[in-house]
Amino acid sequence: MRRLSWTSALGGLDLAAPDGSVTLREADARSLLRLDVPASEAVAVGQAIGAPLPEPGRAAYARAPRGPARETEVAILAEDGGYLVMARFGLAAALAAEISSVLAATPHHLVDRSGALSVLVLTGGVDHILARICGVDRSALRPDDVVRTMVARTPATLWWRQERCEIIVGASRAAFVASHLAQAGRALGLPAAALPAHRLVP
Amino acid sequence: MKRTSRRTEDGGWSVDRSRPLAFRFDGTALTGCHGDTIASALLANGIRSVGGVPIAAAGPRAGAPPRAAADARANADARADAHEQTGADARADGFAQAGVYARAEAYVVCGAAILPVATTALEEGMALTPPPGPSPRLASSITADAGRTPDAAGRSPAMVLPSSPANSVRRAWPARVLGWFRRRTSPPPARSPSDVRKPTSDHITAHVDILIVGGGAAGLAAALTAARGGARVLLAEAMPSVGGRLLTLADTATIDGRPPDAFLARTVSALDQLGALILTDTVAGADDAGVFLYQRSGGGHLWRVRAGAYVWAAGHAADEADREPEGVMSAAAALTFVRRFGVAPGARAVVAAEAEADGAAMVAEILRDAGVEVAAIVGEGGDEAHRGHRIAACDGGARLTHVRIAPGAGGRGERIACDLLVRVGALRPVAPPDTGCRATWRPAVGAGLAEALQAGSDAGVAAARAVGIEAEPVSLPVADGATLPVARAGSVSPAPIALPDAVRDGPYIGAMAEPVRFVPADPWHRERAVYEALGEWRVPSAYPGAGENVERAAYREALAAREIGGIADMSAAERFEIVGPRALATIDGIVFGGAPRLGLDQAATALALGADGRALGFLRVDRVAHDRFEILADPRLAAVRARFAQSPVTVTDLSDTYASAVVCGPERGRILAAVFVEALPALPKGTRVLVRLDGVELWLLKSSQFGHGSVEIISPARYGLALWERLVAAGAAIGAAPIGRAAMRLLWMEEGRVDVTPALRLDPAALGPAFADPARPHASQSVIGLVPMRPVVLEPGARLLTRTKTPLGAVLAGAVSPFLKRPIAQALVDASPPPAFGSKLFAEGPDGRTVAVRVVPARVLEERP
Repeated sequence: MRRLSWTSALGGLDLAAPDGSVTLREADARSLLRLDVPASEAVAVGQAIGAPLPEPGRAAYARAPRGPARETEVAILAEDGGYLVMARFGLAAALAAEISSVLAATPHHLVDRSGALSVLVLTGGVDHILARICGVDRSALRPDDVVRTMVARTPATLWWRQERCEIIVGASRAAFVASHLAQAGRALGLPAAALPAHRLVP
Repeated sequence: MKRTSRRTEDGGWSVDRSRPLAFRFDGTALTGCHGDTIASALLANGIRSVGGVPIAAAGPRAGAPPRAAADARANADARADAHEQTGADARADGFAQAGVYARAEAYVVCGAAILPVATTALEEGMALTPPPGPSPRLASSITADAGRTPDAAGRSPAMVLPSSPANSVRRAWPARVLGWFRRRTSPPPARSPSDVRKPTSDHITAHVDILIVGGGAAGLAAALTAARGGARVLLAEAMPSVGGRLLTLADTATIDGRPPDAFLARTVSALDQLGALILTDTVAGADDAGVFLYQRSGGGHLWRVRAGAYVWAAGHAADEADREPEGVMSAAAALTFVRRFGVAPGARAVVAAEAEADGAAMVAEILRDAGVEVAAIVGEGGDEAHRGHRIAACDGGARLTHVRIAPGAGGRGERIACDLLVRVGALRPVAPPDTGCRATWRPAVGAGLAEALQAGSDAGVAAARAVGIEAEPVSLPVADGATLPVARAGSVSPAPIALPDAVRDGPYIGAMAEPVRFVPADPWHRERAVYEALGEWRVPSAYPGAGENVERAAYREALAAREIGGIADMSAAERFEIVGPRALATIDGIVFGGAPRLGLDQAATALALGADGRALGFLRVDRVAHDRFEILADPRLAAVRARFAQSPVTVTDLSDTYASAVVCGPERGRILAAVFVEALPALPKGTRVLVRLDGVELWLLKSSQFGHGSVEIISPARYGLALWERLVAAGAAIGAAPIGRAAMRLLWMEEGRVDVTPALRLDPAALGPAFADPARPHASQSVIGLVPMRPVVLEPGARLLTRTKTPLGAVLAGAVSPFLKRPIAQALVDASPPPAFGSKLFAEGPDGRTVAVRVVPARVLEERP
């Protein structure tokens, strides 16, 4: 059977400064689930997913010992009043089913956002670049802090990691944000990522 | 006087005489020194004005009086015009056009950039030309009394010319300190002179504990105090280097037991080690968004500063005077040229002292040391022969040749030949800008050097305490620290900062100016489509073929959709989900329609109302679970989502989650059959049906988007491109066409749906009494269709009149219907009862000419003969 092919928003963007000190790339496809659930269910949900639900503004990252994502990396970001569950691509349906099963008797809200969000991974020059398109106080953040903010005038979630930052934006806005990130990194040698040319009605 | 200006035999702490720099000015080869500014290099070569503006100031000034500012701005405009003629980068013009340098400062053209001479470092190989604008109109004689032009308020400008708070002398810094300092505070060096000041214009956000504006004695003391206490400090200095009044000190002065150069080097080094950031060539301002810094170097950078406390230590300046002739400058400027750059600003000078004798004597002594003959010291602090006298006039027109001295009581008038008039006037504190926001400036200023250092230390302690840091005051005793005299009262306003367009916009220019969004199938569209904006989205307007414009393409696409089939990408939408026990009640309170009666997987179109009862627009409500609804709205209706977000439900954005395509037209079934090889289930109207395509779950929904029986296909966004390509390929095989937004509007108009363009403006007063009277209820408003009786397309906004010329409403949209092959229109009317179908009205165009129209149903298709 011929499969319906899928595409990422940026077609696998991969930029690097000539010396490799700064890179900007579109992360490989991931399963992304948005979950809104009462805090009282955090433990149960964490067990279902295989990673604990983090405190607000934090990320938890673990290799799941059980559940649909068993033996794979799972990350959970507590952002914007809810959770964003990240797992290997292809696990979204199974994870959603597992979570829904655990929460069958609890009001919750679970949406598969795989493909709806783009994850841009910035390494090197993070402070320099984000200071130019984002108002976040970098010095106040620790590794695995998660911030909902505006990046290049666009709503985004920042996940601070060791030596890098993951920028999660709506797929339809990814090209615009990536262009501004590349522009902000030009002084560090990052190549341009021009917006695709569009002919506009005069 | 053979010599006008030249390099002094020694001195000049910032220049390295062993490293000459070759440059050209107006085609003439000249030589400067490493460490020169353009101003000092020109002055050292005897060039004392540029484009008619004297090289007098060595830095930013206080606010200019109206006439001087207007003249300067006119010159800047002229320079910008001339700059444009050279074909230089248009963005560089913004500097002049915005008036950033439109004060009495001189500047030159270098490649694509306009550079202020006073603050731009000279570089090897620079090819400079004077701005080719008109020279300022200079009076042949500026007199102290009658010759000065009053400002707009009728006040005569002060004769004492301005000085910059930082234009002062100092002893040489060690080269290693200078090198470090430049690396620390300057942008990376340009690769070639042509690269200088290209407008990179980035916006930088800085979060610090304390922002200190002013890098003079007070500012440095404040920074040192706060930084030692552990505060994150950002210090901004308007001049190319910090130091301020410390640079005017006598060689014998000491601060904290060290000579000024050693003290400065140690302080700057200490601040660096403490992590403080120093920005030079940077001025501070404030707007609604808070305090900003405009760093003029490197093409301009806008810093947005978020600080816990703000210290204003900008020092002193003199009131800006009106245009001065070449050869007249403030004492601070003259001392700066002598002590910092080793350039004598003239050969024979008159020092005009309107203040204390000590200041005039100090200036005269420094000039003499530089080889300048001081012919007289005139004024209250003048020499014995001229004490109490005053300057009556400057002769020589644009270039000073003599000053006329009016006698004091019992004295004689005198005319003295000179090429330099140095004015020693009382400096006043520069007032902080009005922030207009929460930021409050903490002043740090002192009349004398010791007082300034103390004030800075105190401000540093207080600012640190404001951010929860207990800092110890620093003790910096001063010996022999006489400086130029400072007034004890009053203040001057800082020069206004008008950001150049290029700096204000920063990286948000051109295609990257505003956030834009693209649908999943955009890679296919952009190869073929002409786009239009739909809120933030960029969506296909039409897919023109060879020789087609958008209008023709839209007509063709709409006709194909009516007669064969059309495929429309509807992914650009405001799509969100609301969940919760009160979801249904919330919908019932916001939308007007059949949404509350929806069964599972059923959808309905309903009108959303604002909190004030006004209609926000139509949206589609899909019930996907008992307490879960998906809302789909036009992307321009962001207010709808905000309205739901205020309600006791959970709202989740789905706008990038799904792609949506609508297949319409009589042959839609063949298109769907070609894509969905397996037989599709029946599609009851208004009900979503789950299907699978190659293992991917999709939703099908019978829609009335472009006529009865249209089918919407909703897929996960990542499959949007592939699905679109399959649909279009299947359609192309039978002559169906992809349709853009322009064709959609035609189809909607035929169907009676109104798609009001954002540009439509209706004047209520012109539309009739019902529109003009806010008290009258608008219960009788309705949308009607119109068919013009002549083959003309009615313009949106055209007034609709009765036979008796009574206003009745306005045309909302007009076009030639592809299906009916004649012009049609839709109009909003306010009449009770509404005009009867078949009745005759008149549409009045902007030129006052009227066209007879026939009233038909809003769904004009029903009028098909």
